[in-house]
Amino acid sequence: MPIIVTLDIMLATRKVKSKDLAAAVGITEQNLSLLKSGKVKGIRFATLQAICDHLDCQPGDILRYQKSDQE
Amino acid sequence: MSNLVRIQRISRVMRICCTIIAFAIPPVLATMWATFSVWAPTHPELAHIRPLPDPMPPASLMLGFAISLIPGSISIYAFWRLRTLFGLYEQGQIFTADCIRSLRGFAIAIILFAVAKPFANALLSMALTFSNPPGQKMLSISVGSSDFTTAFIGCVFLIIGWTMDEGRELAEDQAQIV
Repeated sequence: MPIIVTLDIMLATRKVKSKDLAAAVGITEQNLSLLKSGKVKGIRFATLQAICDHLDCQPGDILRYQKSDQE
Repeated sequence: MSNLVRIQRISRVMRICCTIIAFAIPPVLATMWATFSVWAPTHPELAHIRPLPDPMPPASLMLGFAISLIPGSISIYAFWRLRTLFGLYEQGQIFTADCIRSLRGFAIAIILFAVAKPFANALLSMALTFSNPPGQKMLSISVGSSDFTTAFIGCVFLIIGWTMDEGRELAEDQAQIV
């Protein structure tokens, strides 16, 4: 997947626990863990908005596009 | 009441009905053949099989019962698949692989029933007139509009099953979006 989720870096930068973010965003810790590991097919704008709001960051701070070698 | 709750409630009733019907089919068929002489003279599906021996020999009755078990067993299978389907709906599983499998099984059973019924009726005409004297034995093959309607309904359910499979893929995709 050429989209890299860098949420764990932002969590460490902001010193926010996954558990607290999950509670603030309104998703389960399991889903947040899947999101952090990039094992999801997509993220809702509402979820993205809530994460950015809680971590005071931009979508680009938690998502990165990396061009794959095959393309 | 939410739509899912309504589906679950009605599915519970339907599952119980399907279970009762599936279990009732063999004894009902057995009772019908045990009381053959009562209903046979006026039964429209047997109207073209004449003359019927009076009394009907027990061997013919047993054979008739065995033959009627062909579409009967397909019906049992169809109702069992429906029972499984409604059981899954009752658990809140709507767009799952198990639901699709059950719906397809039901659809295929209906189509098989529509195909098997004319064959079973042909065999039945032979079995019932088997003890008649030469010249009065019959082999009657007939395909009615009800058989076509049944096959048509089976095809409709089969296509609905394929459509639901598309829905299942969408539901699985949706589940992977946080």
